[in-house]
Amino acid sequence: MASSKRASSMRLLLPSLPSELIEEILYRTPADSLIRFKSTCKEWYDLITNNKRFIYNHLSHSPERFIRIENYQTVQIMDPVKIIQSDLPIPDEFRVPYPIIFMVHCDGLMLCKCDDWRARGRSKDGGLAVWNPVMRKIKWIEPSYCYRKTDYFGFGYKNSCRDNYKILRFPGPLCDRDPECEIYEFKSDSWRSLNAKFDWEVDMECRGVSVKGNMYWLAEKKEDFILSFDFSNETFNDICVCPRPCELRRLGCFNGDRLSLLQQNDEEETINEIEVWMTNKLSDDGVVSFTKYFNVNTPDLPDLLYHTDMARPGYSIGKYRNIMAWCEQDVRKDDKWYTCNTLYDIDESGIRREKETGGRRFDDHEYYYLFICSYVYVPSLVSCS
Amino acid sequence: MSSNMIMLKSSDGASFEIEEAAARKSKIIANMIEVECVDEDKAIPLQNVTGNILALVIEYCNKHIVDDDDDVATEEASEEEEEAKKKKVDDWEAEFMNSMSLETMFELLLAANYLNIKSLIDLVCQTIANNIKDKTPEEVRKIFSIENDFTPEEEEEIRKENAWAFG
Repeated sequence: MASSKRASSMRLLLPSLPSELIEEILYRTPADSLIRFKSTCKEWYDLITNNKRFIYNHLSHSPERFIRIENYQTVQIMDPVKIIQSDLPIPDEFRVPYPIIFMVHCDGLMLCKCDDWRARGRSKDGGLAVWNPVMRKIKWIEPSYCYRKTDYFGFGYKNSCRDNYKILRFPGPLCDRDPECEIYEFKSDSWRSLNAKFDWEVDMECRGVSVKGNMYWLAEKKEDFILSFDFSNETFNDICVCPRPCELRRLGCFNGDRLSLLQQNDEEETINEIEVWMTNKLSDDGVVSFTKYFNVNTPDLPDLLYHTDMARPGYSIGKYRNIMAWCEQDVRKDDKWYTCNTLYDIDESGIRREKETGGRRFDDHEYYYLFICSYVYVPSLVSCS
Repeated sequence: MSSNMIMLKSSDGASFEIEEAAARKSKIIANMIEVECVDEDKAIPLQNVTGNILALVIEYCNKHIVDDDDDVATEEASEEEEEAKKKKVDDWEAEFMNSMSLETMFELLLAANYLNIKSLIDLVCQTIANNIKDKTPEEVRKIFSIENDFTPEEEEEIRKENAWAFG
């Protein structure tokens, strides 16, 4: 008895756990910690680097974060529940003059459309890359001919073949050419054209959201509806009608299997009422439709969706009927304009928490594009090649 | 509310009385009850769980059975009430795990695994994960009794590949 006591004071004497329990613990350990733990032993190295079952189980436990790029220089990742922010330098590949102008998230990978500032004014330019921010790996996707400013992109996978990610390229609303539509696959590393009919226009500000391997956008035909692209059978589908149209809105994903729609009124002199709409599970057989989840109409509400020309915030609907949103707003101080980034946590009774996360004076060129302030992102160990 | 009580006996001989509904949180005990191999007068022996750990398991089960009962009683409960209840359980769980030693967590995890209580396995694994996330590979080896089977050169190579993660 005495000897075992002495031993435990010298080193940790914890009961040993079977490997399946150790895996259960590692599924819940943040991806960046696991990258550090690769050097623990060969078994862990293999698990974290190569084992697809482990990597996708880990992904399914990985909590949502927000990601945004500050002033083309800094990657900011936010834990919206604990409100903890970590900053990393942007990879050299994405430095000016090739800044990322928008992203689509799927499985911890960011599909990034980069601009090419040296080619400003031309209709074709820029590059496309898949980036895993936590692994700091980037894969450039060569175009079949070229990318255009008017391109829209989808990012997803065929259900039976999750790690063979696919990218969809199609003409956005500003395209004045014949519509052309292409699909790229990781495995073949090449583009092929896709026959598709376009009798709709996707919403300009809505860059879409990837849910369970399929892509969803707000779109317009006679009325607003949700357009999807099913990556398993490679077809566009009209999923459901949208709630009453509203100037300021952003589509999101809830619980990994539902669409959410955040809307805010933009009528001056009225309360900036926020509405959160939710679909049923997208995997349900039968009809998908939106129902009102909750709304907030307390007098203290900020402009989440600042105004039509400005940034759409990344937002996530929490498990306590709350909205967490990372917004960019502009403020005027001493005759100069500044951007101000704020994380809000809002529920039906109003603002629960609010934290300013930075800001700076902005330059004239900044509102050149319709842009998105932040994206929901799930850190993962999924390889981008 | 009248409910059946059953007896559990730990490996070190301590006896605990627990509501059958709470004990059913354990799939193993629920199965024993189903096949009627539980004698009302006799305690169920749990050879792999010591008294101090079994007391924690029972505390957890009792707390969660109350919540499950509520679910049945208030099927019409509004979504708001559901969210509020979820928050209450989360707060209780945080308090329950707070300041528990790593050794107790490991024993509690083994007990939850042996008794097959899924939600408790999830809770303890998450708490251990939070505990180890900022540790070094060397500390992690000690915690899980893992032998380093890399040569110093190999280890250095992996550290270099991921140098940024070691900040």
